[in-house]
Amino acid sequence: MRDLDLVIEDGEFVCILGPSGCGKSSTLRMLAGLEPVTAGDILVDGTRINDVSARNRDMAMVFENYALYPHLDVYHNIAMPLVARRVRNDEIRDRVFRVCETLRLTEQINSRPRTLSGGQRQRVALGRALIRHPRIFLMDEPLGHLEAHLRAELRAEIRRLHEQRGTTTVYITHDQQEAGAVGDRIAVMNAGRLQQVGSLHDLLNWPVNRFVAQFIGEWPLNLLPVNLIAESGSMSIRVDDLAIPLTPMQTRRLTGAKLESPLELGVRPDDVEIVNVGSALSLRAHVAVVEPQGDTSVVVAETAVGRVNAVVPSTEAPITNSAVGLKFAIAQAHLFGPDGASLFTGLDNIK
Amino acid sequence: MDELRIENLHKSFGSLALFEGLSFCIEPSTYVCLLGPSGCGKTTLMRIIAGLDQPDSGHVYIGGNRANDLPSHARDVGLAFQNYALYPHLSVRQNLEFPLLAPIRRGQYARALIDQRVAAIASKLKIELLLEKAVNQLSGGQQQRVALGRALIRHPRVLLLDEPVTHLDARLRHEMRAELKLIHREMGTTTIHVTHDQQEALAVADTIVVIKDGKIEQIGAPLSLYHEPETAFVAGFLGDPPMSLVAAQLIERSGTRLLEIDGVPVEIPRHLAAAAPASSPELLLGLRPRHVELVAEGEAGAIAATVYLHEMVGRDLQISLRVASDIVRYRTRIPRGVNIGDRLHLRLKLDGARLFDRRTGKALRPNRTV
Repeated sequence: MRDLDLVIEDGEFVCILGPSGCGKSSTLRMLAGLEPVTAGDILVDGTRINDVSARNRDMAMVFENYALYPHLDVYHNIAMPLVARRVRNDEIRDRVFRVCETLRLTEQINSRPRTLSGGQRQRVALGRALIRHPRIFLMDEPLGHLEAHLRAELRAEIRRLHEQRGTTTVYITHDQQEAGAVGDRIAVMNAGRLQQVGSLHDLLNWPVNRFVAQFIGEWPLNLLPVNLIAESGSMSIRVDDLAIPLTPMQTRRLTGAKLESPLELGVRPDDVEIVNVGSALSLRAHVAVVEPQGDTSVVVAETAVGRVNAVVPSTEAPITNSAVGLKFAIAQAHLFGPDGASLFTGLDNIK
Repeated sequence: MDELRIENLHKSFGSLALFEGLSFCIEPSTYVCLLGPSGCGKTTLMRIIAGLDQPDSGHVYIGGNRANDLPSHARDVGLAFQNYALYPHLSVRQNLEFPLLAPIRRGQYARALIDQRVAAIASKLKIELLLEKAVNQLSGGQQQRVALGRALIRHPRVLLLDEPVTHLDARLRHEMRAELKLIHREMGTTTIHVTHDQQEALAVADTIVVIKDGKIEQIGAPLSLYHEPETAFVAGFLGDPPMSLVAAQLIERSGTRLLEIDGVPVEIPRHLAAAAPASSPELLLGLRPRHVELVAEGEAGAIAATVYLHEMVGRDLQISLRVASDIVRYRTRIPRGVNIGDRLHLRLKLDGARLFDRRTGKALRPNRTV
């Protein structure tokens, strides 16, 4: 990891999002004091804590692989951090009952971990962190191995608790949907470097580079090799034999910019429209596969510049093996230079 | 003739009965997904078809022949697993040849035929240029193709795929599922694909078999399951988001049948009203986001709800609303500030919504005019 600069506001919920090996867990471990920092400072409320031991950092951590005590019931598993800190018994009882109620564990309070479902066990692990009132919560893929419906349920629980308590939280995940559901802001990391920090909406519409654009979004981004044509004050993008005029804002962005090839156009699948073959401003394509998803379908089309996916209403999906035209919503497209940096992004003209 | 027929299958693990009379059949050249949550029995079913597990009773027919007593290697099936199980130190070519050279088939395939098979499958899977490479030098997607090639090299009647793309990253998963469909179209091999991912099943399958607790919930084409789920389970499992399921009560007011949701009477399309038997007024209403709109308090049909969760899904804002003890999902592309616990009002447009018997979970069948 190199040159990580990140400021988290008091009471903010920040997700660190990235593929495995990007450095997100190491970041969390450094915050927790479980991993030494080679260079740089970690400040909490303006005080440098690099040399403060993990125990004294006043942070509570939740892991993906919760380690519950198998011989203790739910009550004693959750009470453990308070027992260790010699909190009075009646106060412990109050707090355990309150946490169990929030996490809907009251009925299981006397059960041992092995009799609980995966979701219940994860809630106990969460409860053990929540029983404390730490300055900061650190959560490392706390829902990682749960099934989809349990994940959706628990992320609502986590977000609700945050809105109630307002404790500053740093949350690690590789799932952008989850990050968008629980976090106020998302910090995207790749290969040990912070790429961009923003809301899911910002990252989707104004990615700083190709990595962020590819990593964020419900469907994988289409990337098309393109050339730029400039003539008499206007600019167009050339995709194969098709020239698509750029918007005035996009043209202004590129005017005077140092442009090196190859350039790549990033188009989201829901910004690709299927039109009749030969229609104006459309790229000729052959429909290889149609994948129904319900109200929408993913159309996988082969073009002279590679495969392009389009997401269209299922009622308008073309027939497999037919010839169609693809029309790109250029105003929402992203252009990337050879180093992957964004030359313009989707909603430049709005921001 | 069916390519695959399962008849009255029973299988228990100790005292736990998984299958209690499971039956279905598959037409030739169909791409079938066995879909269900973990523990539903889909993998066990595949293993029984493959001959890796034995049923307690019941029959497995492959290509019209009873396969129960055939060992796995003698069944006309090809297998590809989630973790590929390739031989990492062997080349792609050696991995592909392996099933033809196995001791049990010694001498069955002449060298010339083996070479011909390898060349043909490699060209279909676009791995011709990788044939001499060691498997551990390949990318995940390339290994996937080799595993498929090895499963197909004997030209099996039935290809069995266990979670073939689950562990790949999002981009590769999308790429490979399109690839599976293309390969199936090219080869025409009857394919059974086990998955817990409903989006994957909708995308690739001709026919989906939804399994829950060892029982078949519904069999059908992807979009017919999506639009006309026959059980509340299928409704709440398929689609992104799946249908929201809301408790509703059938009531009658001055001769008109209405649904009562959290105390608010809601008009129902006539064909649905007719389908609801007066004998079981306890219903579940299945709703897609398009059936839900937000309205001001006091408007006709407005149902009070509190915000349970709000999240961005692609470019849409999805708000999960709590109505009594159920959750209703609403989606909009128009950004709005919203907090957990906010009180909002929603109204339902029930055209295309589904009704289920709350006790049995079975869909009420609208009376279609003949």
